Amino acid sequence: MAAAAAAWLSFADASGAALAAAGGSAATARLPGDLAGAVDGITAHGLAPLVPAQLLSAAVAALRARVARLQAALGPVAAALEAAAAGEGGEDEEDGEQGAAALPEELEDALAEALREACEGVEAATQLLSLLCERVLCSQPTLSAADRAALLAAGPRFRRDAAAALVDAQPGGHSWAALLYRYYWLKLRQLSEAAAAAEGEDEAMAEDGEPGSSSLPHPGWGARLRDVAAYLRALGLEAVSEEAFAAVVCRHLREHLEERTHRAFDERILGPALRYSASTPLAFLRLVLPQGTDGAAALAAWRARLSYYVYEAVGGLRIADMFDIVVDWPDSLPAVEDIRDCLQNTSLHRRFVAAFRKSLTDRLLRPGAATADIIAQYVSTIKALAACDPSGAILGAVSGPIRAYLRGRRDTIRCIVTSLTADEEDAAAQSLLAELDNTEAAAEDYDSDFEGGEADALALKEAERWEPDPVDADPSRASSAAAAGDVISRLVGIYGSKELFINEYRSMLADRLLSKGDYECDRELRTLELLKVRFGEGNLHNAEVMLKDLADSKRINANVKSVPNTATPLRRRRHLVDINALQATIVSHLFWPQLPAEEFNLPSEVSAMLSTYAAKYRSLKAPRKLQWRPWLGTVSLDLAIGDQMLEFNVSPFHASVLMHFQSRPEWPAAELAERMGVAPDALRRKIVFWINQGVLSESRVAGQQLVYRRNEQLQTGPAVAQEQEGMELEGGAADKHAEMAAYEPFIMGMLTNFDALPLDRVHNMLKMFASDPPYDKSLEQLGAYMGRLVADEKLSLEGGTYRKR
Amino acid sequence: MTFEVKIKKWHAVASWTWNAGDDVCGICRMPFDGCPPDGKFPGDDSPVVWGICTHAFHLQCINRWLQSQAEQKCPFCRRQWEFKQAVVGGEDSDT
Repeated sequence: MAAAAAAWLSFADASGAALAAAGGSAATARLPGDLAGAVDGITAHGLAPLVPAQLLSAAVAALRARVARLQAALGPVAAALEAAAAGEGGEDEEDGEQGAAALPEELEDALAEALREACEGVEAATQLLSLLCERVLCSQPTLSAADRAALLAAGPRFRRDAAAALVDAQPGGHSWAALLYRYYWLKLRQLSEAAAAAEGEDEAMAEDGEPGSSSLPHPGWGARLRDVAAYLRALGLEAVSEEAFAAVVCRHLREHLEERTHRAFDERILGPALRYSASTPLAFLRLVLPQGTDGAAALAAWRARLSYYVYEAVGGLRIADMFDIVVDWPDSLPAVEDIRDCLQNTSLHRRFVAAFRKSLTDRLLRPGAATADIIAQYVSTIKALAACDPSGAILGAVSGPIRAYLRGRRDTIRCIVTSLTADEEDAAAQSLLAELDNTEAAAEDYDSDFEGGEADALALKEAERWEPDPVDADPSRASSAAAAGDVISRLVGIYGSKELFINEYRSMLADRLLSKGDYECDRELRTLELLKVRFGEGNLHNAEVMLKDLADSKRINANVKSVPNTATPLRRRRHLVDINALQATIVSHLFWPQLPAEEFNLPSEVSAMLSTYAAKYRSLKAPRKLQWRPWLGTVSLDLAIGDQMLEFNVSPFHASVLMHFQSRPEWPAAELAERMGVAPDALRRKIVFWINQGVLSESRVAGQQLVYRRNEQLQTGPAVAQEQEGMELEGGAADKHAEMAAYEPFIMGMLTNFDALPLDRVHNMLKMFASDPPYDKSLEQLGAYMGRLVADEKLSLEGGTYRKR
Repeated sequence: MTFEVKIKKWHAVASWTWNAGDDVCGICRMPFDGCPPDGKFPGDDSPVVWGICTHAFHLQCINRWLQSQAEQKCPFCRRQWEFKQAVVGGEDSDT
């Protein structure tokens, strides 16, 4: 027993001393003789199972001392690094004129040396431990399996314990993470400054992104960094080290990018950023990562990580500026291309959508913004997003708020149609018209409710083109890929139906055509042709007839003028007058918006001209006849007043009013109104125009009636509030919808009973059953109203049939 | 003092009608002033004709009807169909 105890004690002493001393010299491959003897001594006494625990505790005790030494050795290094880091904060403000604060070389050497020493110590102790255990195993083959395993595991276990103890160490009172972060940061800064300096000398280096050793600050610089990194790895501090240099590299890249992006959208920043990430940061990583195949794999992984990081960072920067990028479109194409590439390589879509939507809502969709501006921005958005996301999923997601907002504005359709039909001078209109011209995305992209037979072929074509939406697309929105770049169909689609758009177009076309003093409508024809390509001929048939009416009118007008007054069938020859000053637009009234049917009494000389014209027309076109619409048209006249000669282009009513004052210098209002067949109020609203022109004046003596008087001289007096110029062909859309609202219960009831109905059946049933108020609307009016109900999400329209939602 | 209005040009607007009432063609159920289903433009391209029985149809419609029938009869009254000659300028209208 005593012998066993003595043997054990001598073993413990010898092994403890050996472990403590390990690492001083090169590690041994063999056990020293005295230790081997001690081992044999205890195994002879059967104490082998106790060996691993004893050895481990001895090794850890030795390790503790070593860690304390390491901490002490690193103290100055940590202090120097901290000072450098603190100095850097101030230095930034001075624009880095001192260059990167340098870690004194002897301190860096001390760091490397301390790490090397610790490393070798741990290594030697591990080896010694393993050798001891091996020896025990060899001399005691009869040990139990558990004991054998414990002996075998002692070496690796110590290595783990050592790493854990080292990680917990606080060199110089700082955590490893802080120390290493500062160290790497310093080194990377030095490298990047050296690279920047070298760049001037050697452009080619930047090109291939492989900085040669020439760009390293100085020869030993890289070797030291490499050594430090290697020792850290060997000490099991790989995780801490990697965390530190990853953070350093990312911070470096981020700062680099922030410096380089000056909100300029006309050049790409992604390419240079990627090239940069492959140069300096990668050169740095090449030094700190292990050499050999492991290192190559790690380097490749890092290369991918860095480029991903760049994509994400550049994407983030660009996304924040997306609103202004769209404003600058198309000059901002490079920035949009940046975004496109970033989106392809990252999953920023959701963030992009959220940020862009927010900026749209904050900056654009405001009551103060003009509808035309919103539409212009929407158009730019469509184009820019088509360039950066061909799938259209993002556009679908961001355009929602714009569309909803535009839907809520009353003048949206009018704005769109105006810009499509406006005069050449308008630049914005030109761009929309050009868009209309862009036929490649035309008709086929249209939801083909009415095209019937073609629909299948189109659907097939559509199906062949289908591509899945990106995974992060919002599934609640139908894929709108096909229409992504088609500005017109997107604008028109705001209201969910093209009928509404076409009706508005028709009513504006009517306004334009009827206010013309001639028959020239080349531009309207061109627009119509483009619209036909897009919406299909059937939908624009009315507009086509309207334009044909103009062309026919021109011809008929010439024919009518050439009918001699002496032509035999004109029985009332004696009433025929000279009609040279008269020309007429003759319309096919069923194809035009509702024209005002009420009349007023034209001056006799004018009505004589009109009836002559009508008689001649009848002689040419019997049994057709004309029905005049006296409110419509234009009159150009010269007015001689006093010693002045004035020229006016006015409506027929205004001209008629003026003509009445030729024969009589003054008219009591009531009398003139009666003479003209209008209400005195209506007359007053119109006559204000002449009063404002200084041609007529009104006077009311107390208790007497209102009198209009012609002026003998042109007068410039205070203007009286003037009526809205121009005769509205149809009442405002709102009034019409208000009238139609009476039928809404009928329509809803019908769709409850029948589930789904096409427009013409709704129309017919209303005609049959609606009696209070009686249904007297046209199919188009009903269509417009149903379109409104669809837009209000009360109904839905699918494949030409309406259903309740 | 002068006050003289000289009309240089009076551009008026009128609509035409076949003067066949506000009714629809008995064959195609489209208004006379519109066009039959296969016609593209109203007016000259979609004339309205009267038979001696005074029933009126779009020319295209009655022609098709007559071609499809062995006997040339008005689809309304079954009287022998004959086109009524237009009396050019005959009934000078109430314009």
